[in-house]
Amino acid sequence: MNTEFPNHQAEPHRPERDARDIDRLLRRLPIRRAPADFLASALAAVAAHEARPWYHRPWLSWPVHWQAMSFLTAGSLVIAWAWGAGVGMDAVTSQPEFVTTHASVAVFVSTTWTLAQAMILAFINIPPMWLATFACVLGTAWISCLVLGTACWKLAAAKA
Amino acid sequence: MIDTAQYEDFVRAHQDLVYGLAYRLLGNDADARDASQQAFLRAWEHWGEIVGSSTAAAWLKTVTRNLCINHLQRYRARWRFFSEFTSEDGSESGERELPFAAPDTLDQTVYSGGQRQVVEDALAMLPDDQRAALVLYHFEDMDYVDIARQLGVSLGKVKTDIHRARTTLRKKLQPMQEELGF
Repeated sequence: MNTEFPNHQAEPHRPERDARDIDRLLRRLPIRRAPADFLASALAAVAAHEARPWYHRPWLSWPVHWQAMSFLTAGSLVIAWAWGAGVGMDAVTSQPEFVTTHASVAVFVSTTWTLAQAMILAFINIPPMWLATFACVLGTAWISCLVLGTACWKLAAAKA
Repeated sequence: MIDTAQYEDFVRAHQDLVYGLAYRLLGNDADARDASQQAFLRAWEHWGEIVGSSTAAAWLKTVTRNLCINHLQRYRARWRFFSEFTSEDGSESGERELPFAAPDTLDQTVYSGGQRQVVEDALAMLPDDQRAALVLYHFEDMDYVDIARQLGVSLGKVKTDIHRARTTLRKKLQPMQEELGF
């Protein structure tokens, strides 16, 4: 038998041997058990989670009156900010020196502002019936997605 | 309304799986506890979807793994990223994926308590990035590409990290080589 050359079958490349040895070693390692008090602390964490005040919960689970109030407040702030920014920009861009030195900017700003005003006016003048119809269509689409998604999930879960 | 007794049974049944995985990935008890509690909180929030499901354990395992990886990535600045500068194909280690036998065909000898502790300590002492890559490869059966994607690092870094982790483990466990049988 020729013993001059190493037997590569029995002695594979070092990294490969390392990989196999470590793999065997780690796979024999039993799963580490959770500490004895883990169950109690996990249940306490859930209890604390459930006892959170409403304002620390996701917005969708807030009480309805707080949802409405926060929605109105946020909406008012956005409108006030947009209006204030528009008036401020108007005041700046109507200055004669601004108009002469930044004519193109002034044109862009005034056009954008006019468009925004037009959109606000158009939105205000939409007949309530149209808005209600739009809300109905949106609601129906949302409910359809929800129902279809739930059905698909249940179907997939049943197959699994 | 959630049946708390049923939830308690669920936590009791899966706590070792969740905590064990979190400990292996994070390498310390405090972080593993936090991650495990977070995973069970997610289970509470999605109780309606997972209760009675045959895939609940797999779901919980995925959530735990993602939470641990998020935790590691949050502290990435502390990671030792010098290995990122090695070549992209991981040529430093000449590493290539090897087909390992399925776990149930391997020698399932259980270590003695002391031996198990030595191996766990050696694993826990590895740098975060090396340990995470090694655990995902050997315990979670993920391939290099998936590990790189999951950890948000290059393929070369994953190969290098796994190679370095194996070398370090081998060195640390050298005195017990005979007892551990490798």
